[in-house]
Amino acid sequence: MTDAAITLEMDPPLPGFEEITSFTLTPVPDNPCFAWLEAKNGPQFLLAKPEFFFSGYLQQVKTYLPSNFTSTGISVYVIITLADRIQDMTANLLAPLLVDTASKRAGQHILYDSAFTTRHYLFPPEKRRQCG
Amino acid sequence: MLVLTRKSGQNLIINDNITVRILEVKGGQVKLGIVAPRNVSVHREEVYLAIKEANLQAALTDKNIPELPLPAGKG
Repeated sequence: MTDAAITLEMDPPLPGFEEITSFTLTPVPDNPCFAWLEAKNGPQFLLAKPEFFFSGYLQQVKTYLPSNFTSTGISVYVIITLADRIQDMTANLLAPLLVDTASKRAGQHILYDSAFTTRHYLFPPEKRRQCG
Repeated sequence: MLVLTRKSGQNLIINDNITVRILEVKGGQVKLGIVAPRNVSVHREEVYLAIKEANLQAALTDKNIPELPLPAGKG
């Protein structure tokens, strides 16, 4: 995995941020599980690599991609919503962010008719209790 | 709003490059097939609005975040 930041064209734009098309994706130093997605002078998002938190999720995402959508070279991220306590952060598994690192394009893909929602805890209840 | 009546199997054409086909009408439900260029997003409204709301809540105004945890067994 590279540690360099890459500039991405968001196409189609993120729902809610339709006017922003350029974002920078930056890995978090010393933590392979997270990355930052930032717009110049705009919002920033914390992203997580789902394979570290949600077993089997990547395989499920692939089954939802359109057949004309090659899954090679596509990195999958999920958008994190922070809570008052850091260990209560949640991930949007219903609409992962797909990043094509070769063409430097990204977009949120909605997994219609899946069991996923916009809020899944990253950490199990034991961990959330312990850290409280 | 433009209101049109269509039968099962009939199409609508929007802007020369988007086709909406009525595939099936059954029991209060309509099944639609949509052919559109890749840069045209097609969404179910209620799901789209939920994603939009989730994105707005996830957006951060600063990066003043405590140390990010590692998942269980890796930290």
